[in-house]
Amino acid sequence: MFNDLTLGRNTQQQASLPAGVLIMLVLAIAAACLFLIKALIDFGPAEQPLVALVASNLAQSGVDNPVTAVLLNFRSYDTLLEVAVLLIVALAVVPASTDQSKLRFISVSVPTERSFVLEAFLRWLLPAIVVTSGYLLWTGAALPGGAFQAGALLAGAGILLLLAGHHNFNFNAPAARLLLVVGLAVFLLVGAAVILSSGTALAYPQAWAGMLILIIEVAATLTIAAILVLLFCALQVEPPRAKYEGPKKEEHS
Amino acid sequence: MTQAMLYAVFGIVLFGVGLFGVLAIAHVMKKILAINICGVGVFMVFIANASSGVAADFVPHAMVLTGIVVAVAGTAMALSLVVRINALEQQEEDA
Repeated sequence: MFNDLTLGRNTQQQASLPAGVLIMLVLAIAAACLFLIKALIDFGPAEQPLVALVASNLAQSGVDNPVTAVLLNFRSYDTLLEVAVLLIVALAVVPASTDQSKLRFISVSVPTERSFVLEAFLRWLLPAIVVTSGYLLWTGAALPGGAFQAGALLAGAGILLLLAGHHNFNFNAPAARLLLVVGLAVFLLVGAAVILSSGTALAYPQAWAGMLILIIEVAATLTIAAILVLLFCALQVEPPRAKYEGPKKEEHS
Repeated sequence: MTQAMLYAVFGIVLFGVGLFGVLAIAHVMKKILAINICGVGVFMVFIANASSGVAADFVPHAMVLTGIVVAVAGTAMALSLVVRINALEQQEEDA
């Protein structure tokens, strides 16, 4: 779809840089890279005091996978802010429509172009993707996996569904809005609620940590999937009109 | 030179390639792609350094995982701005 973007004024202005400048640029960047590589080799293997720290505290985190423990327990602020960043981007690209007539999240329509291979394949693939996504979410507690992997997989299912053309997502529907914010909302709620027991935001009580992390991850998975599908929807642009109205314009002038 | 070092070195090279793209190419879409290549280079250096010791350090892994998602969000934001710029230029041309 982005092949069709003309960016007219930009492309007219963008006479490429003169060859001399380009060569200078290449040399400067090569020199900078060589300097960085030299610094890297001189620096030698970095000390890793955090490895022991994570390992010794893993038992308290509520999960067995150290990466998940870091993401959702030891450095959960990072993940909280990351979900917030996703929500901000979602707010920036969500179609600004106040159309109240279509308040259903998912609407069904007959596509203009049907791809029978994709349709038949989807019947098999979609359930498998949903189950795999749930598995990834669950296994994130012990093995590589977790909310982001599961959310990305679910988003892939959503995008395939869109491409098949039978279903449309309307991100102005209340259900869609709920999906977009539920991850951040649950994260904030849990993070604030644990103040009652531990006195610090996002410091989960040890006995409940595993359950709380799972709750946060389920909500985050849904939100990440919804936001990724929204980004895909929002960035689908109509081909530029000028391309098709071109001959007409020439007639006018 | 260990394997991890090799990854780190090529991470730096990727960063250089991306940096050249950002500075030398005027087309906005290609600039966004170049910024992404830069980002991948940074992630590679970060991850490669994390595994240069005996055990892999988990904190950089988690941070890069966060970084990837933020990079996707930033790219989507940039692309939506490109689409908007394109729409405005179309309007201007039509008017």
